[in-house]
Amino acid sequence: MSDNQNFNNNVLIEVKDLHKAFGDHEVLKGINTTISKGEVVAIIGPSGCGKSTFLRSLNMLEVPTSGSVLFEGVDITDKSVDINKTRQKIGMVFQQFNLFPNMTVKENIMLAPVKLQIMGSEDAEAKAEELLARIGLADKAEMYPDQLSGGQKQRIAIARSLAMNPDVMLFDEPTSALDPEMVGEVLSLMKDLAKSGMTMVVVTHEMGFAREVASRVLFINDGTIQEENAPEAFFADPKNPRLKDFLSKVL
Amino acid sequence: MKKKKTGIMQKGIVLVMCLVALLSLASCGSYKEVRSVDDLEGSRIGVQLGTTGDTYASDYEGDDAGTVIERYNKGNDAVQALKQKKIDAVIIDEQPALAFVEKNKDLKILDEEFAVEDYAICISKNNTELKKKINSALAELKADGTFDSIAANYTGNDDEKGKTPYVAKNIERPNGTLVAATNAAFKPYEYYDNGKMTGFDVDMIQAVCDILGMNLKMEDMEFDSIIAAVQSGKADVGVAGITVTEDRLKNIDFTDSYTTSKQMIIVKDPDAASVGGSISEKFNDNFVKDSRWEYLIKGLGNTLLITLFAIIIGIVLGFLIAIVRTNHDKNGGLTILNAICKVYLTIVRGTPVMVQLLIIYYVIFASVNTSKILVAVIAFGLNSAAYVAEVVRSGIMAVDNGQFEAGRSLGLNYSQTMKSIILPQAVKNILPALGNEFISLLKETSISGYIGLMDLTKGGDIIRSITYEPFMPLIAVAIIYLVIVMILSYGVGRLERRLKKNER
Repeated sequence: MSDNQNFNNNVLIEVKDLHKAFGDHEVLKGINTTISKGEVVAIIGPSGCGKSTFLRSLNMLEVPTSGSVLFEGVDITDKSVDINKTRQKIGMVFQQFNLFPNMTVKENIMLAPVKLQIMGSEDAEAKAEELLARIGLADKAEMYPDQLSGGQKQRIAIARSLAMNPDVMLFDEPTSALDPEMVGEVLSLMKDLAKSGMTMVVVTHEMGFAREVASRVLFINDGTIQEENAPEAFFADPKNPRLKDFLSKVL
Repeated sequence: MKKKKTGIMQKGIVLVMCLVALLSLASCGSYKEVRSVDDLEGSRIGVQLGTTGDTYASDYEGDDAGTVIERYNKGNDAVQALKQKKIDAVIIDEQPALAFVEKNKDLKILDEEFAVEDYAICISKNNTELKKKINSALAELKADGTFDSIAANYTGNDDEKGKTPYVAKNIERPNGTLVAATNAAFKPYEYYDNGKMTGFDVDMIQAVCDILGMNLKMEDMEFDSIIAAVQSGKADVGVAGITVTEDRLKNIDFTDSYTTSKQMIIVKDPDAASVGGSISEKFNDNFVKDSRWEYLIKGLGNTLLITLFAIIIGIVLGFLIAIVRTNHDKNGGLTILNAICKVYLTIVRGTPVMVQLLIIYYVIFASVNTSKILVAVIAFGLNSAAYVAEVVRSGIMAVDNGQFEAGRSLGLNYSQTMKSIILPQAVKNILPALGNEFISLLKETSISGYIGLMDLTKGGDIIRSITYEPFMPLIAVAIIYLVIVMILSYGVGRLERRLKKNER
């Protein structure tokens, strides 16, 4: 994966001087970065540093106070942009899965493509079955989320996002709510996804995943990106004293 | 399933038994025998609210002897209270007093009369034209003997009574409709007989209409509402054995007096043997005789009709309000609509539904001749919507925000997310609360009688006013409500279980 260090010009997301405050509390204090197609960006940092807020700003689940987020060259902080259209291309996976409890697994996956008239319900059903086969949960199609384990739920949440054929997938601490024995199955699915060339932005506490799968690692602290590098250099030779301190605690 | 059903049946039976036991508990109190007008001091006097009996009796109120005045909506209720010794005497007009005593052998009228007064038809002050016409019609009726024949039919001696009822003439009626407000629980002036309103006043006003070439429409309402109804234009005239008094003349005009009446005192007859009948006799008297059960069936029909349409209004409007409110909370938009909704919720939830019903009938629809069912549907629907709105809103708020974010992150817009993801979950959560709301709505409609609508409760009241027997009609009405509520609860429970199945 070392060749990923060379950024191509295929820029997907560009973040410029992003600020976000909740009332008087400023969480993001000027974030600048660029995410190219095919990149897998891992974001690490201490709790409350703003990494989730940053991730959620990428699809406007959090509306920035100032600055801009360009997705495929279009500034999506602009109110005149149809954010719903943009979100169809940005998949998101949540810490708490957020599956729809009143729908079966298959219905969960089919909902968005059918409601948004991207596919007919037959195509959507075929797609759902294909995705479930891919993640190894074909036999769970007719079950309800409450009948599944956490790991299974999260894999289905990933499949639900994939059903929209997104250009990028955002992961907000996807394994933090899982029992330890279930972390592996989710990470391995994410690894497969990365291998298939999906652009991914992953907020995570799994340093192993960041080291092994990411093409680039960002360290966010106190509302700014304090260090970013390819994983080998990032973990082997941290420069920022805060990052050194952080890594010494988590590794 | 079968087991469950018997469970519900048993529950119902136990409930009914408790109800009966409660109702049959003897009412205790210090009964005082009233033998003359002088004895009224210090006694408990029952009157019909807003009658002159009420006015006279009020002079005793708050005296040193500790006289208590109990005001009832109907003379019947006062008489029933007297029979059960809840009060010591009833002051009421002579003819109803005679009718009451005739029907109730355990009561008697004191020889000493309490007051003498004039009856007249009340009419709005600015309707002098109509007043003149009615006065001349009354004069004509008195001159040609029609009036005496009507009087003899209702207030004559035993030989004359019931012989000469007035029959409406079969004539052209080009001059519109005369709406006459009355309180049909005041025999012999106005009362129900075989499901039809009849009586001295009813025949007289019919005869007047025949002369004036007008259609007659009688509106049955509480006595103390009649003057307000005439003032507000809901009715053209009030004909209900209304006495001309100084106070009333301030608000309303009267035609010439058509008869005089005395205020009499009814007391329990200490010499009368205790009356009673077998249960089957009572049942026969209350329900079977003259097809009296039809009052209950007709009333039940109206109750169900009002409840059903009020529920529909409640659901539709309630959901709309809840959606506006949550949209405002989540997105900050719709400020003006939200403010309107908030004011609406505050007013509806801050005032009694009974007052709302009266306001809608007497104020908002004051000058329009609207069907009372429609008025009740609107009143209860608007009332229910406020509660439904808050229930729905709480249901929406209870759905985890992550569900909302998941929908939005997939590219669904606000309303798509609401419709496909949030509301189905919210509805499931609030179903028990909504069921409760509709059950209380059904029971709340029992106040419809206040705008003279014959709902189930009023149907029972009418039977009660004919038979002077509170037990059977009230229990029957209670049981019918109970059965409907149990059916409703069962339906909601089934629906709940069916929706629950989706989850597991």
